[in-house]
Amino acid sequence: MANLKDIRDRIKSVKSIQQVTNAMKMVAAAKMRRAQENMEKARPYSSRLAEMLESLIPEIDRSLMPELNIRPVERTLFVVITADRGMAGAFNHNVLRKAHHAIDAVGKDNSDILCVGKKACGYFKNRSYPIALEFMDFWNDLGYEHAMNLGLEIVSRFVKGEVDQVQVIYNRFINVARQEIKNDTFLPMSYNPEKKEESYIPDRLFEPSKEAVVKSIIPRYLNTQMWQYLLESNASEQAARMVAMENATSNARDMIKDLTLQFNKARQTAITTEMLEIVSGAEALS
Amino acid sequence: MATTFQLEIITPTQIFTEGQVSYVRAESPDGLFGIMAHHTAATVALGIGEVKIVKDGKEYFYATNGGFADIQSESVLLLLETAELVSDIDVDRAEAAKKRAQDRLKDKKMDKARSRTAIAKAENRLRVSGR
Repeated sequence: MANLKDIRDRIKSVKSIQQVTNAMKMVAAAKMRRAQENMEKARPYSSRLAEMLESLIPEIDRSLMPELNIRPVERTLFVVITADRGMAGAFNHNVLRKAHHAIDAVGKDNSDILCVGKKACGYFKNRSYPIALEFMDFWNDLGYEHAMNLGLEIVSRFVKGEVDQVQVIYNRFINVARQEIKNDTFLPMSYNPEKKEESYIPDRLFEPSKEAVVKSIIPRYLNTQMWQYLLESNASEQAARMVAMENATSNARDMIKDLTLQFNKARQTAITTEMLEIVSGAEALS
Repeated sequence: MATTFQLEIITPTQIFTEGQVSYVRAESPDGLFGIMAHHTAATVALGIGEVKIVKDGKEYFYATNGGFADIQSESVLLLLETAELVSDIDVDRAEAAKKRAQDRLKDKKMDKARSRTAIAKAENRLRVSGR
């Protein structure tokens, strides 16, 4: 049986780990709430833009809008969204596995990878996959400008014809306990031609022109989508981390319980042995 | 007849409810235009520039990267990608962004058009912050 000092030291170290995991859990919970709030805040803007777009797109000539251009797919750009840090259970691993499959399905010579988050960069760099662009170290102060930069970068690659399709692979936030890996086609943009809302169009003045308005809505709308992806991923990351840290904390609790039991047993044994020694010593003397 | 109208500014991260205002001036790619009460229904694309609001006789300025104005006769909705009130503009950051973009413009590998847009955004911030 392990001696008392060893057990005491182990209890102490498990306790300090528990403190750390517990603190990480709280931090993740707070960050998750913030990400969810951001998702709420973004909704009025993006739904309004979508509304405008849906009512206007049937009215204009599709071929004028490069973002809607459907071409035979030769090169695909994969946007893989992961976190900068680990300690979030299977969060990063799930996305990377899905992305890896998707990329292998079209062949790595026909794909470009845009890595968002340190984890994706590391993963694909180690496997020497073609990384078109790295985008990392921003999750801590995530802001709308990140979505704008990313959106601009991706759209310009697509419009220039460097890639024919853009897919985004990310974690979708369903609830705290559940995240879903999604693979969305970001470009060419899809829309529902059936959904024609007449209410918006009549007697409206479009300045400078209908086409120009749509032309400037599209990239902005894509930016809101990108923002949505980033926020979903961010909320998922924090939720996954929260659950992982909750598990770690409760494991530490169990371990402390076991170790305390062991410690008491060992202490009792030591006392018993000591008493036996005294009794047998006394007997030998008399 | 009322001379004021409802104004709301919606950005992806924030909503500014301005309430009843009497005048809004914004920048479209073709130039400045003003909105007063009972404007005809219109949708106007806005470029990088400033938005001036007159409320209760006082003027307020926002810096924006562009967006849309959705105009009804009784209310105006500004959908802006970014909107910063003059007092919220971080001058140091705008200066730094301008400098960075200018350096990029010299770098041949970088996209010229994008660097120019970045410079325009930063300069707009600086200009509006002087209001």
